[in-house]
Amino acid sequence: MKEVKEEMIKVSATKENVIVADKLTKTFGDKTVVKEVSFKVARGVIFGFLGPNGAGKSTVIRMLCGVLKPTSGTGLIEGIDVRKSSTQVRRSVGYVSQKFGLYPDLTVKQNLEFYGRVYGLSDERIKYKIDELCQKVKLTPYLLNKAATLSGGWKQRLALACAILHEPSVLFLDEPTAGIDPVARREVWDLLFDLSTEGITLLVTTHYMDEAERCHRVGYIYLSEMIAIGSTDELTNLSSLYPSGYQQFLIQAEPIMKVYALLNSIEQASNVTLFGKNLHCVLPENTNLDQMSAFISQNTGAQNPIIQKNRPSLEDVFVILTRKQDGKS
Amino acid sequence: MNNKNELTGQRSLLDKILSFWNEQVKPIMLKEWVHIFNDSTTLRIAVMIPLLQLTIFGFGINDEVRDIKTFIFDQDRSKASSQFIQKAEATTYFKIKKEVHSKKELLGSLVCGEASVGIIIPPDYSRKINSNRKAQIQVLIDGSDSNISNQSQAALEQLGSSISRTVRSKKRQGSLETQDNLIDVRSRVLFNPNLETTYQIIPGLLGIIVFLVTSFLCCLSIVGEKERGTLEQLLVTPLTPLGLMTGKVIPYLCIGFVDFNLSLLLMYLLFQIPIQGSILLLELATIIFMFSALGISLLISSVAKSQPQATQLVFVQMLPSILLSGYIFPFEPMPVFFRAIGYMLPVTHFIMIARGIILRGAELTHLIVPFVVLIVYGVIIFGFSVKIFKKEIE
Repeated sequence: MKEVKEEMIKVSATKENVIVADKLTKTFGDKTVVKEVSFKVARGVIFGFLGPNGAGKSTVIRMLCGVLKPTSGTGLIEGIDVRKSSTQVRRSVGYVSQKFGLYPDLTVKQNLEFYGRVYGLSDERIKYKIDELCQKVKLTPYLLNKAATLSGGWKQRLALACAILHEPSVLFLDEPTAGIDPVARREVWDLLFDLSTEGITLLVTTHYMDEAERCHRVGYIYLSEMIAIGSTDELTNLSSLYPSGYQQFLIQAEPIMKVYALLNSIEQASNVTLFGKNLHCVLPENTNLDQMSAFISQNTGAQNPIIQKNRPSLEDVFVILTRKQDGKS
Repeated sequence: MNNKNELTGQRSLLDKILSFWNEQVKPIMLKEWVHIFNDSTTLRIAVMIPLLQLTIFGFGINDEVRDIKTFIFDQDRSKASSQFIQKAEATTYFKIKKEVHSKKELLGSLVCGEASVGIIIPPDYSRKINSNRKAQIQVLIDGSDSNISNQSQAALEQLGSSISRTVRSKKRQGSLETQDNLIDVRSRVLFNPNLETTYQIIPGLLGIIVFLVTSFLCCLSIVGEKERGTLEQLLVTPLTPLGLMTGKVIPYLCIGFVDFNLSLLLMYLLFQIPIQGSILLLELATIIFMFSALGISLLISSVAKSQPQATQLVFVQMLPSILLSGYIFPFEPMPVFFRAIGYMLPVTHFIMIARGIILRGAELTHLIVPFVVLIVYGVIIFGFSVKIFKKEIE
């Protein structure tokens, strides 16, 4: 049975899924850092990998890069087992870390040349790729500048260029946009979309919800376990988010703080969260909105409070799932 | 899959080594050279350490000497001669290690450093003493350690006159006109006839300089990669730990080697210490020695999390290398425990070789033991550090 299953994973992987994790588990001593994490990513897809710090994201990435041997479970990159041929796997993946992995005292060109050599590219090939990539990420004017003199966004581009010089089919990005300004962030994401249309499969970890919403698919890992996978639409429509018969509502009213206190004091409402002048809260699906509105204005003096059904944001989804998971354990 | 395996199986060893060199070692090595020339501190350290150390440590440090390794060539083999030997040992200055049977053997033991002092008792010693005539005892002293030779010279002369006195008082034959000593100790200092302290310090210092420069710089460079997160990046590339380390280490081997020769030159120009033996042999010993030094620095860089921490560790492990290696304090008077530690340090054996070649003109045949020890240490330490490094990475 088990063999048949493995065979199936392999076949499906070579067909479309470039990254396959099947019950990946890693333990250090008696501590389980990653527990039976499974997911698949098809070619050209941007997969957002979310979860709090220490949840096990980096460990999963390191296992899939062939750096760390899984304690159990299987990881496949382009159908190649990460456990068996880690060198082959490393040749087909690129990796951009939070710390960029650049040498500050080397020039942009020297950094690129170095990574080209490390991946065994010939000198001519390196030259060609540097030309091509620098045009693409617009680094050409900075070729002879030291990496240390580049600003965050440009460092990010250089790190990206270094990671794709050897033309990997999979690119892992560990918080690639941490600490860079919104304009640079937008530009990096534009580049990532370019790469994905070229057929490179990307796995991106991030803490920014707007970035997560840009991903084709999202996985959320918490306390070493993958607790949700799907597209943004799928996740925000998850039926299991709220107890049956309940739904999220958006309330607009002034003074909002009084409404906040009021809702927190009544039994039907839960998950009351402020968003500027609005608040989200979970109420029974069949709540009579007019009665509720009257109740609020009576108790807080708010004039014509607006109450409407609201679709949860990705952040809501993760907060709810995290609390649920905490409740379980 | 099978075809691929067969193909890789057919690759010759040479091909493997070549591709290891080109794909693993060379990229790292080239980059390391750029780092070194970019960072003026590295270069400054490489030049300043030998300059500073040589000028500062040019001064001697004196210390009491005990248990000097002594060889005896007793041609007399009489009661009187063995009494002399016993008395010599009773001074605690000398430790009789071995009795030899020719002058040539005695000289050989001095050249290879087995003995620091050789005492020759002539065949007519007891006859002369008994007939109240003057007996000569010849003493050969290794001058490479000026401290040892100074003190042993003085101790033996004192011993000669004290034995003379006892013999005379026993026989009650001593008259006032024969104030002269019955026993005439004639000592000859070999290898460093002027007993210059610098002769003792400088060759040992060569070992310390090479050790400090190579281990310190290499260590800083590796820990730097850790701090910058580039090590993390390198680990996801096809580089193997062995390739990574070899590429990192070679530039520092070169720097250590250049530094060593710079120090040799300074030694010659500043202190006029000539090299009695083969320079080539000395260079060979240096290269072998550096593998141990770099191995230790790799171990430190596996443990250290930051550059300041690495610096501290380098200096902590330098301490026994300076104090227990025989570089400043002679080996013989140390308690057994510390002597054992001294013998476990690679630098101790390198200093033995350096002093042997520079001061005594020793050849490979004389120095075979420290050479073998250095090679064994190099292989063990380097091999072990590759293992630890690999584990640390994972």
